[in-house]
Amino acid sequence: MFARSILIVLLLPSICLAQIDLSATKSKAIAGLFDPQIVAGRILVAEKSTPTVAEVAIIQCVAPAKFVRVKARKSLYESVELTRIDDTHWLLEGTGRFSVEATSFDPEVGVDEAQIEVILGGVGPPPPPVEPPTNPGNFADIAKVSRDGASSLNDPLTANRLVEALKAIQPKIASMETLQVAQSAVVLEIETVLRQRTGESRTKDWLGLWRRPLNNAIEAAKASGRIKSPSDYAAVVAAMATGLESQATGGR
Amino acid sequence: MDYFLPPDLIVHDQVFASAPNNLWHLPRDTWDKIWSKVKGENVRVAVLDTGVVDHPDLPKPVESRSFINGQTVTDGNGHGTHCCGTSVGRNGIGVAPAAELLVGKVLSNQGSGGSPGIAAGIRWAADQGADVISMSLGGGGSDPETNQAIDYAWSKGAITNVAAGNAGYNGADTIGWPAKYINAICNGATRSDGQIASFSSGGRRLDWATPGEQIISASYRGGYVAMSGTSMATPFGSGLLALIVSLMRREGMPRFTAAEAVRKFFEQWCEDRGQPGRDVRFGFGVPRAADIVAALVNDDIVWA
Repeated sequence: MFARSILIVLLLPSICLAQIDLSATKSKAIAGLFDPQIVAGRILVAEKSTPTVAEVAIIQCVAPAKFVRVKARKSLYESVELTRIDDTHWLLEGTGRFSVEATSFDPEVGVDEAQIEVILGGVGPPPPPVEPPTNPGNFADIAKVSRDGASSLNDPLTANRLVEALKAIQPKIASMETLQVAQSAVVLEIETVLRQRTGESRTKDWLGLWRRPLNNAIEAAKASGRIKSPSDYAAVVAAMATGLESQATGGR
Repeated sequence: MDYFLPPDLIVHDQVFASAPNNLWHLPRDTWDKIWSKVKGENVRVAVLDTGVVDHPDLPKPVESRSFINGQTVTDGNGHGTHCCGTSVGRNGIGVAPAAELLVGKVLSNQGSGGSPGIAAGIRWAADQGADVISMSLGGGGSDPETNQAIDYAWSKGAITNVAAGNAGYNGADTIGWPAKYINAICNGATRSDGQIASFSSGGRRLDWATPGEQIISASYRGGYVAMSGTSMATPFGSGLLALIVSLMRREGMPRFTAAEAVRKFFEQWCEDRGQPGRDVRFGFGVPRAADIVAALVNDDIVWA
């Protein structure tokens, strides 16, 4: 296994590191073109083309080493295929947060590893204008984090179900015994909805792109004294639902 | 192409009226803690085998179907019932006791089945919403129809976990098909001391190894019986995959979309045994079930 081989090399006494230069440049790509030709400054394509604009990343990896491996993954469990452009450039496509890792090995120079994070918006028409939250209260920042996360996930079905669940429990939160009890009740509702995802919704990273950012935002609000009671938390849950509503559909 | 129950399946003589407490492969001091966090909720496990019978420790299948002409889903062999118990049985005999069960009879009561029926069974299970498809069967050759059905299962979000075979290992690859297919997960068997079972087939395609010797589970004649084989290890592995899928889904993680993603997971979460790294006897190793569950539950995070 390649990783194990690198470990063995590292144990040798006189190893120096090869230098990897790994970077990503975001770019726009036009997908859905058939027979493209550039003529007089115009791109001519076959009539059956259906152009869509996608945000992509050009991954550049330069290393003096003899062997270089570049991999991308969307999470610990999901690898993503890179399209090789040439010896030092790869194309990364998709939506969401990606980790790009490069490993080089050269018997003369040694080994090196590098890793960068890339966030892409994906293929499709531009997203609709974001409606301002209707009643963000004191937690407009929480609503924004919720909205941004849901927007990047593009999973309106799950967003809709989360809105329903949060709105159902929100009126009860203020009268709960403690903040911790309120948090546990809301977490249970969220996890119940996420557990019941089906089909394409199962492929969405709600943990990485919505739960964790929201959690960080709520922890920051607690640390600054903005959330101290179940009543405060009720307003937080309302903000979470408001942020999700921009991505939820009207029906089931 | 005909597929069979892995040869030299060992059925032990001792039959138990009630399942002994603290089965070696499901020690309660470990598994009660795991089950306090996850039991396989909202996950469907399909067992494609000789069928199933009613048993007090088995859930009623949410769907079942026979792919054997002239035979019903009722298990007239015992193999399928035993596998169902190890995977989703209740009361301490199954790994994922809250998972839903799908039963496809793709092997006859005599223990054999043709690839058309097995491929149809895989596709049926995927269409029924299976998250994990457990197949304790194998044959000597690759069958395109079965391989394509496994690919179809992936397209529907189902992981296909297959028994490696019971041909042992003497230096040459002894893994059968469809376990050997690159998009299947290939499951070997360990014994109670943690070593690889002598009968467990070996080869470079082996992915992982789970308990498969003297496994007590539901008997099709009532009560419980011990069996040994990669046939027993595979539903254990399938049940564990069900727990993993259930937790990942609950936490909001994206599902596995390819066998390589599952292997990447194994690389991190299996205890390496045998030769260092992935090897022909243990694959990536033996899954650290308690550690996996603890990590996926995000106990280190207090959700705000």
